[in-house]
Amino acid sequence: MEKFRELFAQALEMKTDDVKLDARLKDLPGWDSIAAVSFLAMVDGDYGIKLTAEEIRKAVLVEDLYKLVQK
Amino acid sequence: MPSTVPIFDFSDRRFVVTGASSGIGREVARQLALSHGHVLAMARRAELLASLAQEFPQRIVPCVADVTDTAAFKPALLQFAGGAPLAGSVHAAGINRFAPLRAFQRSEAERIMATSLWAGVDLVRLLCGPELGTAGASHILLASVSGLKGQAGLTAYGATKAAVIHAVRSLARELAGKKIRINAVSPGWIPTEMTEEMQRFYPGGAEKIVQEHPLGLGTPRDVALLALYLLSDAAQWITGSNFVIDGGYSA
Ligand SMILES: NC(=O)c1ccc[n+]([C@@H]2O[C@H](COP(=O)([O-])OP(=O)(O)OC[C@H]3O[C@@H](n4cnc5c(N)ncnc54)[C@H](OP(=O)(O)O)[C@@H]3O)[C@@H](O)[C@H]2O)c1
Repeated sequence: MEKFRELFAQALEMKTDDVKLDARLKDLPGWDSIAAVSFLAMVDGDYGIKLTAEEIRKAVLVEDLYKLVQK
Repeated sequence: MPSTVPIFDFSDRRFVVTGASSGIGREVARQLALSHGHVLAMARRAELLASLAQEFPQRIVPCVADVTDTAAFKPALLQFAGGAPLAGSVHAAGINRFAPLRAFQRSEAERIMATSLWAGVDLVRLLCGPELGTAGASHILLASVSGLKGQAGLTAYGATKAAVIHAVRSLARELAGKKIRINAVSPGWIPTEMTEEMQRFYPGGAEKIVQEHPLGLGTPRDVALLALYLLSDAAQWITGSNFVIDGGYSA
């Protein structure tokens, strides 16, 4: 969980402490296309999970992304 | 379907093709074999090279090697040459990794550069040396339209390909005295293992990529036939250039 929050924070260039799992992605100022593909690229390296931009696009809450990397 | 009659005749000529297990390199090796050339086909995955060699047992010799380890594959190269010089090479071994700045990893970036650029330069060094070099030889390094146009997330890959394009210019000047030619080929999007992997990072998906290429996407064969032309004597006055082949992507 902590690893996910750090990675997510890095992808959005925000502080780890500010990552809330129940936040809506579209309410986060850092959540744009570069953040999304950065998240994809980081998940590849750190979790070895190959997600697609389409899968990420379907996520509504930060938690949905957390679930994707728990697969 | 396009005609299978070869356009070029490479009888009695020997070439090295790297990245021959897949995609563009594999098709270059096939087209050279169809044009009666002999090919040392290099890559790391043995089974894929074996199936290629099976298709052309008289013409394609598999060489399982990491292209960044020049010292390790040099003996295989000399054996393939059998004491005679080689007619040229196509360095199509390459890797890519999508990484916006905040996901940048220096070790990955260095691996991309080592594979596409430095391994290619080192291969050309071997092939132009006293044992294997000869007047009239022609070498090709695979670059990319990514080396000409900035693309978000492709800093390491794009910088590598721009470096390939430039390395070719310097090498062409050095090698002209020996009458050895070297050129870069820069394809647009060609469906291969590499682009299959990259496609995950494009939110618009395949459709958007197709739209950016006025003639649609290319095939490994399109690139291979350009490479064959540059390897042939028909291209004897061409060196140090970069050939864009992209279905109009950069038009
Ligand atoms: N497809 C495109 O749209 C496109 C566009 C522009 C430029 N290019 C360039 O064209 C070249 C070929 O790409 P492709 O699309 O055909 O990709 P591909 O299907 O992924 O093939 C890459 C080849 O490189 C080999 N390779 C990678 N690292 C290697 C290493 N360390 N040692 C030996 N072989 C290695 C791979 O073989 P093993 O894994 O078996 O070693 C494979 O045969 C690359 O330089 C690429 O950057 C491609």
